[in-house]
Amino acid sequence: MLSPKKVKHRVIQKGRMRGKAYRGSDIAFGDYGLQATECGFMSARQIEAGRIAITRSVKRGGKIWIRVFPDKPVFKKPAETRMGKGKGNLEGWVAVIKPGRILYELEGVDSDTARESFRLAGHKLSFATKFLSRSF
Amino acid sequence: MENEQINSEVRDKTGKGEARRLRESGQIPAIFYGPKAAPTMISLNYSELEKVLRGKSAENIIFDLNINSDKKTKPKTVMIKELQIDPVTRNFLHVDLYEIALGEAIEVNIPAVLINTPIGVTNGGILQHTIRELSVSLLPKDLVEKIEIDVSNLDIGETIHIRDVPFPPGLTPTEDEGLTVATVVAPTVEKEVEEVEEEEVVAEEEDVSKKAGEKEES
Repeated sequence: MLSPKKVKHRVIQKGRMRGKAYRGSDIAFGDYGLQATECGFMSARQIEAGRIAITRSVKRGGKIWIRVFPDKPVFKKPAETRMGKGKGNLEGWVAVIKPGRILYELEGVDSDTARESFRLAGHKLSFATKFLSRSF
Repeated sequence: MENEQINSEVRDKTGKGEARRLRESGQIPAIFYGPKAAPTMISLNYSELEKVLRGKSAENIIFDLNINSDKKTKPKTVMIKELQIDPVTRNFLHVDLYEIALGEAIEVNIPAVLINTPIGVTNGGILQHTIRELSVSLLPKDLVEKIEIDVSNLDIGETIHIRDVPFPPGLTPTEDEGLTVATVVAPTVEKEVEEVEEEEVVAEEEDVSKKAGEKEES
């Protein structure tokens, strides 16, 4: 799974998601893209699950790009623990997704295959997505 | 060939509030400028602009702009310098219109479209389209919508560079001629993720959480 090799700050705050993703909102490499239309966290597990879903759906041929990287640590307290006593343990890594962000791109497959692959990948995520294709 | 016409009106109010009001009323804020023209804030009709841009690359359209407040002057010949688009709805937000002189060369990016199926793809390879827009210098009268590149003879491992592209007459590439436009690569076989690799990642994560625990205790 994807995770940073080293981080400047081991612990960071949760933060809030506001606005739209103006960067990373255009198809840059492939012919088709999966775009988020809502905000949310995309965990390293979800990124990997989506990638596997796309790869299995495409079967052979095609090239895939992952346009997001989980660089934000998330923490969780153990079950049945009283509040306080400091921050919880590292639960995993997530990517912060804002509406408009392209998550995956595909090239070398036909439109129907790409649409079906992204439909399957979209089901692994906790926010709404849509299919995009290049105009040319 | 006669250019399409778009009507516009000069606006004097600025800011996001005014821009939003314009968009709600079916207009779109824009700015007009050029090498000899002073910047003028204008507003366009959204549907007129959409009609002109539909199915085309924004950079490759030259049209005539009528600025209504000044009816004495003749229409300006303009092209789109920058088009801001909402990332989710894909609606146009703002347009920069640049005045051009028909006798002077301009530099634009023209979409490179690959046509036909390469031999390499039928043999199992993957076609990679590296450069999708070619930067060229041309006179406005020579402007084309797209440059078509025939890739039918491309086998696995073969490449088309900018110097191999059949540019229409009047177009001069401004980029390095050795850059790759398209290539056919051998397919990569998907390997199952090795368990060892995953275990290492899990171990690393545990280390980080242990360290966090130690800090808390101290």
